Amino acid sequence: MENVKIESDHSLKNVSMQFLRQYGGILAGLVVLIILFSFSSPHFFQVKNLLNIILQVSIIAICAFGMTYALIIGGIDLSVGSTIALSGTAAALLLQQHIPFVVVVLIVLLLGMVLGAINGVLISKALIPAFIVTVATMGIFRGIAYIVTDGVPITIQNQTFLELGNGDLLGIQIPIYILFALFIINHIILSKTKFGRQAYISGGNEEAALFAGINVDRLKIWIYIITSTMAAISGLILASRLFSAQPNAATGYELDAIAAAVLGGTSLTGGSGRILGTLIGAIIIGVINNGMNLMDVPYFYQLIVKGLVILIAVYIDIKNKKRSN
Amino acid sequence: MKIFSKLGLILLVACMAILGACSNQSDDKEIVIGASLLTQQHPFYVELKKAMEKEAKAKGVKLEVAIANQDLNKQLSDIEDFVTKNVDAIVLSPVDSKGVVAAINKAKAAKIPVITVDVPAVGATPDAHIATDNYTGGKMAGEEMAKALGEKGNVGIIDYPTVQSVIDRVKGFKDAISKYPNIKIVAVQPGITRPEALTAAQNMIQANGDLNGIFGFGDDAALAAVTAIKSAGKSGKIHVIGFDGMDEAKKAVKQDQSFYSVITQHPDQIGQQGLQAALKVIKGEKVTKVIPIKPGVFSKEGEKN
Repeated sequence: MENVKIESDHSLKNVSMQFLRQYGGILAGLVVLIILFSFSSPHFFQVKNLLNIILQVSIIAICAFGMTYALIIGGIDLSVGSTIALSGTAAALLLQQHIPFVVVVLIVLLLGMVLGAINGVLISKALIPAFIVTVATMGIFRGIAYIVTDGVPITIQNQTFLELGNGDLLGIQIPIYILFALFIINHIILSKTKFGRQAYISGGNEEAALFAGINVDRLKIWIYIITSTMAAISGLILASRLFSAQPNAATGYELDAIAAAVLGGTSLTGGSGRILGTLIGAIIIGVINNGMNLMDVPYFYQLIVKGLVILIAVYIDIKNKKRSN
Repeated sequence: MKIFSKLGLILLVACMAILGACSNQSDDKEIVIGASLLTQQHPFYVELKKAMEKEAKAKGVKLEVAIANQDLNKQLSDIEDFVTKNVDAIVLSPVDSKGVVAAINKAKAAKIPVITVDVPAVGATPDAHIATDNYTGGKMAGEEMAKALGEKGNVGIIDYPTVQSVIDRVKGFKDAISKYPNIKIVAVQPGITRPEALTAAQNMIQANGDLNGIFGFGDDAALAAVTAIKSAGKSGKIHVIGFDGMDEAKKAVKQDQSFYSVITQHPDQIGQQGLQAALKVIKGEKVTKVIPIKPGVFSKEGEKN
């Protein structure tokens, strides 16, 4: 709802004040983390490593962009990890049949849309809660990925496809370009289009959206289509980066994606959330992972630190909600 | 207010992270070896890690361990971070034989030597590979089975058909059994986790009333078979041979009538040799490309090699 207010006031000063109010905390947190890690590891603050971090978070971040849509309408999509695995295996199987790269990418994106439509229809038309629908499809999509591969990873040899995750252009890896292109596209969709405004309105108050004449069912289906399509893109990049499709890949990534979105200020109760916030949230998770690795923090402690970050973010979210009510 | 509370909490977490690593300031001249391990939720890998840490201490080198938690993407990130840190060598137990190629290539491109342990890499050549000689171990299991059955009877196998090390084990087992004309393999069923193996064993016992022996590809499979035999009231009539030899299985061999013996892997030797091979490569010494570690046998009388 506060997002609607932003739209109405475009003077430069107000826009920058809004920006600070919205992202000041999380940006400051990111800067603090970067400074701390820079002091504790000589390898951290190097252009090479910073690019490395963005490369490492690209898969989660793209998936989290999609998750942001689902969260904005007050929904959730727990099937994205399985969608990543299934779209990766689909790509590998198609490439094995020597189908050209472009066609494979298009088919996999289409597959992502179909998977999203299944979630969306079950949620909006069959009226099953999103949590239940996507827990179920999480299992179903994963099961299909295991069946079509016999549970065994499939090696990918198509050079063009391998460039997608491993190639670079002017010293910057391809996934980083994809990440920023998708950031801009999703940012525009959510903040500048009628579709985006409708999403915020129906997430904030579904009944009001219905009274305003918004076709909420159709809107929801499209939201879940976008969420799954983003996951499918993540799946393509992941399979390329791993030189293979792993049917058990991306287990638990749905939770990382939710964590990134929530860290970035997206509310789990719907109505608010921004793509820039999600991007910063994902980068924070990446910085924590990378920084702790460089400092040689034992893995089990890393799990605790990451868990604490998520707890804190949700706590702040709830506290802010209470205050604004 | 909002900004400051958020900032403060993030600071707190960051401090915890630093506390977790406070003792790890490294000297630039020190040799640093990075280890990326598949998991830390299996006793085999816990022992492997301990052995590497012990050997690193003995040799005066710094060992940094990253745990992939069975996620290949995390393993790739961990290795990218080792490359960023410019470690002197990487010891790696791949999450997946084929998928690990990308990670090995990245290390190679940065001229960092790579040693694989336990799971081999396919499609990339590490500087050395150290693992249990699974085929020989499988043959030893076959010989144990023949002893247990008095060289005649019907045998079932609980299998994990997609993993190369297990394929080698089962092949060794079958080759050994084929020398005994009176032993027949009557069932081969997959049973990857303990519950799956339990179902497989129960089915085998149900379908073959005259079953005399079960070979489980790993500890979980063997222990599941022992449970199935007990609940079918056939203790002592069906003999189990296992593979891996972690503490739980060794205890069961001592206690359970039907658990005849277990082929024991030596994660401690694998870890030790892995670290030694890494050091040799760093110093420019020659290393054997494939170093097989011969497994042992643990029976009711204890360990023998």
